[in-house]
Amino acid sequence: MAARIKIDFDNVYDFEDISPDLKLSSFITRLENGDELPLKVKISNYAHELLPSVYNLAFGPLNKQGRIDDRVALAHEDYSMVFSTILFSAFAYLEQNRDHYLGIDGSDNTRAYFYFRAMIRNFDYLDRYFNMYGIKYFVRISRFGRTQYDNPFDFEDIMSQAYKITADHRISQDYMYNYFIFNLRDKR
Amino acid sequence: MKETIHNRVMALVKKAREQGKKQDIKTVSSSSLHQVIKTKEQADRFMKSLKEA
Repeated sequence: MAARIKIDFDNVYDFEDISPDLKLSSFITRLENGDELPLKVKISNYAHELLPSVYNLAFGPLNKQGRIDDRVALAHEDYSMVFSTILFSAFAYLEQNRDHYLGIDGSDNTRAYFYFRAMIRNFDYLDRYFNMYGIKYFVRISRFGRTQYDNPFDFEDIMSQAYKITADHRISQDYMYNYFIFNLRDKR
Repeated sequence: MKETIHNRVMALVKKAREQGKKQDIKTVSSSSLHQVIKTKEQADRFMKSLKEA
């Protein structure tokens, strides 16, 4: 995933299918080996019961169980067109659900860093449409144990902190965000 | 927003409403955010940080 992505809503794939509520769409991507592969973009049907306006967005091909596999590594022929299409469908959804937030998981640090770099490289373009946030999870240290084997971390007490992503935002891959959230920028 | 982008969003919305089929597929897992936020206090704290960021 070393491609330099250029987001452009004028350069997107045609949608093969789209559900009436815009929560599920699909398009065909072409891979580097010439194969064509249907990709699904899915916004969760239900928000978190404690976060009523935050919906998860996942994308990828369907696996054998008919679930979206958002961890598979694919070599797309045109990464820019793939991610422009995914973000365009998200934008259309948010236009119809203006108080919603959409979140994307960075399933690992490499992928999260890839998303972050794409956001920064395309900040001027994306900033016209979205507010973008990186989310970090922090675990509380309850107390240090008497021996090195005592676990000092309280994994039940996790704080999720949001940081607005800005044009000059810098963060190393080692300290990459766990999750990304975006919502619609107010019309100017 | 460019008028063309707005028009294309409206065209997609129209296509979804007129031709869209209700489908349901599942994702591999729920999001990490949904897994780490387990209490109302955590959720309230998170939404506050999001709105103030």
